[in-house]
Amino acid sequence: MRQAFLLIAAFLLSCSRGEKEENVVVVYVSEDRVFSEPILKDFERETGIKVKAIYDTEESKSTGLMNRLIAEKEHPRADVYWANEPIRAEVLKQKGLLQPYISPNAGGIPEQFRDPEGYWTGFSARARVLIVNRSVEEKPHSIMDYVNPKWKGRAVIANPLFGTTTVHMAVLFTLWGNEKAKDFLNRMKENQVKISSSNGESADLVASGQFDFALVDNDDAISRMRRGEPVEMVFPDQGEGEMGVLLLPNAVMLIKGAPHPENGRKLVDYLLSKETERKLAFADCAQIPLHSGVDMPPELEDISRLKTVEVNYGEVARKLEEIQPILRKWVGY
Amino acid sequence: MDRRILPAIILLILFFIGLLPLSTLLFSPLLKGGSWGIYMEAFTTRNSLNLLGRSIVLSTSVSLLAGAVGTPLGLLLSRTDLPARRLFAAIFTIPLLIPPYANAIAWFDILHKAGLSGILFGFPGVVFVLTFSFYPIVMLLSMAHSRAIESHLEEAALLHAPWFTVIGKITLPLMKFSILLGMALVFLLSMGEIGVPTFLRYPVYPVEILSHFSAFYDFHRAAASSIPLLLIALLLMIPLAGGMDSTPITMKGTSLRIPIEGKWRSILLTIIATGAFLVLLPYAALLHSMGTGNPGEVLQIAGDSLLRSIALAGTGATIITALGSIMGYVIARRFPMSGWIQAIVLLLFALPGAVMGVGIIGLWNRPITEWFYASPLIILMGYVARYIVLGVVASTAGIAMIPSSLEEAATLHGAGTARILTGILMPLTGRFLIAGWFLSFVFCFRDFDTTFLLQPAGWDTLPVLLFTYMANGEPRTVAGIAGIMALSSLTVAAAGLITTGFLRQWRT
Repeated sequence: MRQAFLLIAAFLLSCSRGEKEENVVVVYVSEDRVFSEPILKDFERETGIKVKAIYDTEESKSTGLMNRLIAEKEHPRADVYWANEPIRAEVLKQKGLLQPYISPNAGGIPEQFRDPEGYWTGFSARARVLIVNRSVEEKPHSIMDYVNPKWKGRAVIANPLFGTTTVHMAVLFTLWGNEKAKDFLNRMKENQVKISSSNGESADLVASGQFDFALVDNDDAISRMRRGEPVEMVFPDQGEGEMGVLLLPNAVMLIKGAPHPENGRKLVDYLLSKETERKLAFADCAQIPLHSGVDMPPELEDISRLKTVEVNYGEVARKLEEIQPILRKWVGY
Repeated sequence: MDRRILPAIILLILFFIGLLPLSTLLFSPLLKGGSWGIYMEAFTTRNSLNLLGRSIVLSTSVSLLAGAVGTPLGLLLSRTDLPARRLFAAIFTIPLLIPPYANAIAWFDILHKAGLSGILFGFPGVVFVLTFSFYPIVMLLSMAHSRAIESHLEEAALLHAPWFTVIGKITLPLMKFSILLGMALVFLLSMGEIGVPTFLRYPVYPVEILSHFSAFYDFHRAAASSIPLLLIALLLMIPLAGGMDSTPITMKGTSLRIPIEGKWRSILLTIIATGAFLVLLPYAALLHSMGTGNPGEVLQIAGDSLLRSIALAGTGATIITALGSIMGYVIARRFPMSGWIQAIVLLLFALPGAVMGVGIIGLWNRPITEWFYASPLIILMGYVARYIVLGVVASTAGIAMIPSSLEEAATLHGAGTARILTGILMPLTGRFLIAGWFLSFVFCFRDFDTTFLLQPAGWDTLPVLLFTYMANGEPRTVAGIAGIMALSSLTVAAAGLITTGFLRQWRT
């Protein structure tokens, strides 16, 4: 018994030593761990800077790292935040948590994917695409197909209260205005659209033939295609007069008052490099590089050949909060 | 020593580890000149009331079913002469050791393979998965209490009636407290559960709290939204606390064995074996997935997290058991202010982990306390704050069995409170303390909410690793991590049952 207590006392003492190392960088990561961890390990190996990371869960499963960042505002523990979309970056900027930093590697990234004041910078984007079962003869080509009676009861979409589907809805409300967007939602419901718990589940439901198509992230579609499942990927709304495909880049930012700002900047530079974008393009997340001239797998389209939605991310971040009651009512919560 | 000193010290500890972080978060809108409006919203908006009603119906259904499954199982596995009872008890405990969300995934996977995953969605599916996850609580409490019933009561009744009637009229009424306590704990855990209802698409009240966090990052509103959960917890648990020391039970552990003979033996064995098969089915599928993957690779990914989980849960459970035994003594012996202690530990248990986590960050993340906040000690404090009730319940039940005359005699010979606790009560309540340690270990080991918010960078535990890998991780790796959780939990369950069983035999 005495030995057990001594062991516990030794454990507690070792715990209380805390973080004293200097050559470290602390990063909070909302990009999926399986894709982000190899990049961070490469950074550690190449620079000798030890990376201490905390990874996020899917948004529907926990309150997430954003809450932790905000709760730690008065005395930040993180140096860098790697967000999986720029709306979170805008929220943090509006709450005064970020330190502006314009990385030398940000130059080749189109302006629409960067904060003009340097509070955050985008890289490696996900596209919001339609995943379509191969057995469907005439493919849907627009998100308006969700309200087309031809697809009544045949389409599925992830719960819009969580993840990239929430952001997509906020973009639609920003572009169309509340009335048109609400009408779109109501018509979707009339068209018996099924709500799934996540983009991944939507993709599985389409792959298994239970539904014809779904709006998902391109990595959800490409991972099923690489597994040999009978699905295809369609970049929606590429025609004349259509809105274009929505791109959601990763976003990296420095935290104001970070304990290791110098190492934080080095990590930001590394994440914004062409080499990181190349790795993320060839990984299973299959993200589209924002720099020009980066190698990519054949399933991806070069950003210059895509018609994309013009988004003001700051406006979308504000809209996101406003439309929560509408979305909750629509889902039935 | 003044009988008010010990409770005062305990209240001070509870104030620092739980009440202070909570109240900082809960009342800061008022301190900053806000209004009572955000507190009233939780009780007045139609949507909130609707969700609250759904949650109450769901939790009531789950706790009734958990009672219906857990009580007979507890009796069968602790008091009858059926073979392999300890093995079956270990198997039936496994679902409690796995996070409910992982249980939902396991059932979804197996039903999906059979093309039946659709039946899992909605109210019936949520009730099924939560009952599956929580019935072991009622079972374990029933097992502990049914063994401690004074044998002479049943012996006297057996002179006039068969076992079936004795169980209905004597045994079960004497176990009433444990059964109700178990069902109440199940009710509270179901009320606070969010992962399973979200996954199975059944809207419940905690979504209200989560949406304040995830959509608005509004901590104060999230904390205010937890008030109905706290009130329900208090309304439910305080009356139960009064019944803690009213049951005639023995400390000798000489309960009667219920003989099962004839066709009933085969029928009951078949039912138990089928139940055990159903419990093992989803985990067997997970382990199979791990086997078809690369176990070495999974172990390399999860090894460090597993060690951290064991170290943190073991240390947390030891602190909870030590502190809980002192609190249990104060409650069982009705010291002044013991009602407050009961109320506070229940309230901290009923509080959503994320609310407690954010409160702790707000209070302890300061330059002066960096040595503490930036270390795993902060996780341990979160565990103690949330799960201290488990140590308290186990210890109170144990101490209530011991006649206070023993302490009075010790006091006459000059023994102080510390000597009475360590020299008399702790040795005599060993089985209860070990059961409490085991239960606390389980809850710390599978904790996700508190650990996720409080972990220092590089200190993730097995559940945190599992949840972060669920986001697009290779299905075999995810199954492998869940399999390691299931295996390590099974080992702990077996060790706990063997230890308590060994102690019981040694004492008799």
